[in-house]
Amino acid sequence: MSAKFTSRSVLQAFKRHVSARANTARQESTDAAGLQVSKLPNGVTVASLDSTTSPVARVVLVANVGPRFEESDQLGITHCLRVSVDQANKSKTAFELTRHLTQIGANLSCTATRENLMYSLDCLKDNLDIGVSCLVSAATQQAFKPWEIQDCQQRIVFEAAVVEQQPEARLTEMLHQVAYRDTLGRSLYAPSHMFGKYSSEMLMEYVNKNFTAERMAVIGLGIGHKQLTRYLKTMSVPGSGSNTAKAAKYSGGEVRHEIGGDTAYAAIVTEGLGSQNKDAVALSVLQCVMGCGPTIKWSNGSAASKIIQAAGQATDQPFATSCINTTYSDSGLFGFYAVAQASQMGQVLKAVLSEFGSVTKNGVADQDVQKAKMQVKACAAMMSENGSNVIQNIAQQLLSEGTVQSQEEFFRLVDSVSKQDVVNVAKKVINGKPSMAAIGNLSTTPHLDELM
Amino acid sequence: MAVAAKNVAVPVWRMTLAKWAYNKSYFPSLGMMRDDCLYETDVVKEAIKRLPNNVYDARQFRMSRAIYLSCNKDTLPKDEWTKIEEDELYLQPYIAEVERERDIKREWNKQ
Repeated sequence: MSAKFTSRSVLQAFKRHVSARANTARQESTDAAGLQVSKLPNGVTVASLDSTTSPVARVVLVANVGPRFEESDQLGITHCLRVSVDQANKSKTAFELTRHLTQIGANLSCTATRENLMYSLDCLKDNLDIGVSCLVSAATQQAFKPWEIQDCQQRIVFEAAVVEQQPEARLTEMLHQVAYRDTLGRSLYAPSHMFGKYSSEMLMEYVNKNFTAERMAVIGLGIGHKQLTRYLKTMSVPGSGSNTAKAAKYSGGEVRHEIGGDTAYAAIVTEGLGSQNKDAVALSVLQCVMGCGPTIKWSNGSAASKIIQAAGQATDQPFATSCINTTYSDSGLFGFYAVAQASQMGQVLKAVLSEFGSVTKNGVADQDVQKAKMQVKACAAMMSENGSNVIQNIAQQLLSEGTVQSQEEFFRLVDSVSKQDVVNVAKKVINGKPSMAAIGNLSTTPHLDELM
Repeated sequence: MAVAAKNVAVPVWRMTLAKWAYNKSYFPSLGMMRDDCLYETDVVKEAIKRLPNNVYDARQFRMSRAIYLSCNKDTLPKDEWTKIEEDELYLQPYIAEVERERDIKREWNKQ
């Protein structure tokens, strides 16, 4: 039973599609009937995708509650919520919860993205009654006993220290903070001034305000709709009232953090598109046109990625660079990150930036667009081979859009993207206001105004 | 009220006896409550750990005052003695919860 912590991955746009129809027997999400969606009497959306091929069932309870919704005196409260998933709740003690889950061989975890909190359960189909009751009690009947919250603080301190050791993770947090300031700029992890300050009342108030029925959904994979609805009959929703999300406002800016060392990490982005924007697919294609890293492991990737090629001509020392396209429900970030030796950073950044600039001026080649479209489709298909990816994608789509797109629809959309669409979206996005975050040995890393 | 903890109808003679026995005890004269005087078994120790800060501090104060008075072979003035109506069994809910958790553990470990 673990509390995974994930920040939005680089290829987020790809992780949004589910195969509603079977293609191979190996895939878990297989059923001719497809996804069934309905609403429980308490207002929570329920979706299920049955499958007969695998004995594993997965249930995810997703709530549209993330760092995005934190007020300035509640920073990091989602982090605290996430690590307290295994503590006592109103119907089970922590010991009972753990023993029930180990007895049925199930996994319960809590994953937080900036917009959603997902409580996931994996178990065998026969044990779903106990499994789902554990899941529902952990996700909706939190008790936040004061002495157990104190124990959680140790976990929070540890996770924050782990993140402190990873410049890439810190870079992502800094980038979001400078791009959005509040809402999407809030960090996934608790700040050090809040260690030990989370109280039972604070957490209870946050849950009661934000865990409302229209912001929650339960998705089952490998379980029939009637069966899932039956298990959820006694579920009660802790929050009430409606609570609209504050719109994410992109601001732009620059932040730098000098920590010394051999390498420098930097990311430069402009505002991208939200997942509901009709050009979001074209933006994914543009991301693959620019290059997402090597396609052959351990190769230098210059054949696969335009920006790696450009940066490789500017320096002969090790570096890594990839195009970022992060998508949230109403906004996104599009740009690139680069890691290089401290003395080479200026050349690498200038080379990659000029590559982005040349796309807006000179357009893209037909075969680049074709290659990119194939890559987008292949990536989506490979992601949908894993049941836990599938269910997390359904969860996020259901909450942000209300409907779930099947893999065929997505492939159709990708195929319909034309070269002109890619160039148009490039001009629209790349010419926006930039944000830059840099961490590491920044002795030769130029500032944003020196680069633009 | 300490005696009517379970909302059952208590006979009048029983209440009178309880009041008499309480007033004859030593601990109210030192300003302590009944739950301050509980013998600290493992269960009670765990329950004390779970007390909210203000309740714990009040308990500590009463115990320190009682120790001081006892050292000087003194008691509080009669009007400051703890009265049976004011005595609150503050530790009982926590003790019940700790015991329940132990029972659950024991049941699970039997299998």
